[in-house]
Amino acid sequence: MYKLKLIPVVLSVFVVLFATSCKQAQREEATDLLSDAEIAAAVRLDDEVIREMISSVPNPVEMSSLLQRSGVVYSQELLNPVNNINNYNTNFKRALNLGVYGTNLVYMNIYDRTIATLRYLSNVRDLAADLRVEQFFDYQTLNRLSESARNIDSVLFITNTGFDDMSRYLIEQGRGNLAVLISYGTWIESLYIATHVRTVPPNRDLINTRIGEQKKVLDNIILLMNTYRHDPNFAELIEDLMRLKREFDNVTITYVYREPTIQEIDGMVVLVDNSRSEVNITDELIENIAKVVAEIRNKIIS
Amino acid sequence: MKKYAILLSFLSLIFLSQKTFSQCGSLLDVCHGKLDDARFLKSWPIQLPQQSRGEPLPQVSFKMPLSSGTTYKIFACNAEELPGKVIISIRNHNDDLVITSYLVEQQRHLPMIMFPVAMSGIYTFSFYFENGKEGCAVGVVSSVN
Repeated sequence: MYKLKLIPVVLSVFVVLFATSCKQAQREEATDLLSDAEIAAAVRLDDEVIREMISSVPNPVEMSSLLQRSGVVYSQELLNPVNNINNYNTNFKRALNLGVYGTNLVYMNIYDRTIATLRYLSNVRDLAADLRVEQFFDYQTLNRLSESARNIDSVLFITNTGFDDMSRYLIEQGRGNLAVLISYGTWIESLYIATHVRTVPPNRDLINTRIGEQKKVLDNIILLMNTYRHDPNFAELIEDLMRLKREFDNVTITYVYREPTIQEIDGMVVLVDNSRSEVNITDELIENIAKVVAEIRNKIIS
Repeated sequence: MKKYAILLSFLSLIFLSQKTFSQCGSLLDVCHGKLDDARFLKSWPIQLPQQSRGEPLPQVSFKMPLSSGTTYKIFACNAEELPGKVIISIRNHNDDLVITSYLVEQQRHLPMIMFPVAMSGIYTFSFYFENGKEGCAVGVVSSVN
């Protein structure tokens, strides 16, 4: 009688173990890019420099917020399809697309598409697990918070800090190459969305200016990527970025420096920065940039 | 007996330092409440030792791009267990100091900085503790529009 009672328990354990092993089998182990150690000392950047340069890549929250504030309509079709995750079998691809899906997640949250984010959230978790950095995403909490549009700021806060902590951890672990790829993935996806949404005047100018400002960011990213140019995959990314740079070289940014003035209102300091930057970018140039960005991004997500 | 006293002091020291570190690490959760309607963008943990005699002031810097047309709300939270009060200073890409959270003439710390950016670029955020004291803090950058 006692043995009979045990049978369902044993069966349950077996089913759970089987299901778990099946899930693991679906996502293959990858062995590429496990460490920065193979980089020649001559080109290896200090961890602090890598951290600083990654920090110079804009947060996707800013671009998505600008689009939403400017009245740009949400476009689900611009996002990387969720099923594409099955194509990513190398750490190189997984890191890039962890950044891409991260940006998609931010974009959807800012547009209040909270329920639709669940599958993207699951992709972020799976890719992070593949790269052994899943500890930075509190999936259960994010999943619960995503059920309501009221929690958007909390979701963005947890996602943002998760990506920041993960980046710090990867650099500390000598896996800065992955941190660079994730960061690059977030940036290129942000730029892809910004250059492909339908904009209307007068907000088009503001968005175009923001796109033009990416010229400086691109220079930094190329510099960062160059550290890893010995790797053929990185070399190909750099080649693509140089094509993009040729387009961005036609953007002119001018700066006018003036002394700032400070006002204090209700105990808060408001800085009136009298310095100005002006971006000169034509619609034709935006189109050319959009075309190259799409080619690069589609190669990443394929 | 003396041995036990030394051992006890040693263990207390370890316990206290771990407590300080863990509270320092969880500062962001406390600081999160100061965001109000602002949208969180970035945070940096800052932990610096006391300035040694004859040594430069310990400080740490981070870079971040800021965009024109956006107002940034910048603030920091201090760990109460350590004496240092954090000071933030921000420089533009030309290395000009654009703002600091400490008014030297009035010897006053400002609770937060509102920064409507008119010049896009990569800004450097430097953090150090008043009078070079040991301290722990978290710096937060958020956007309000």
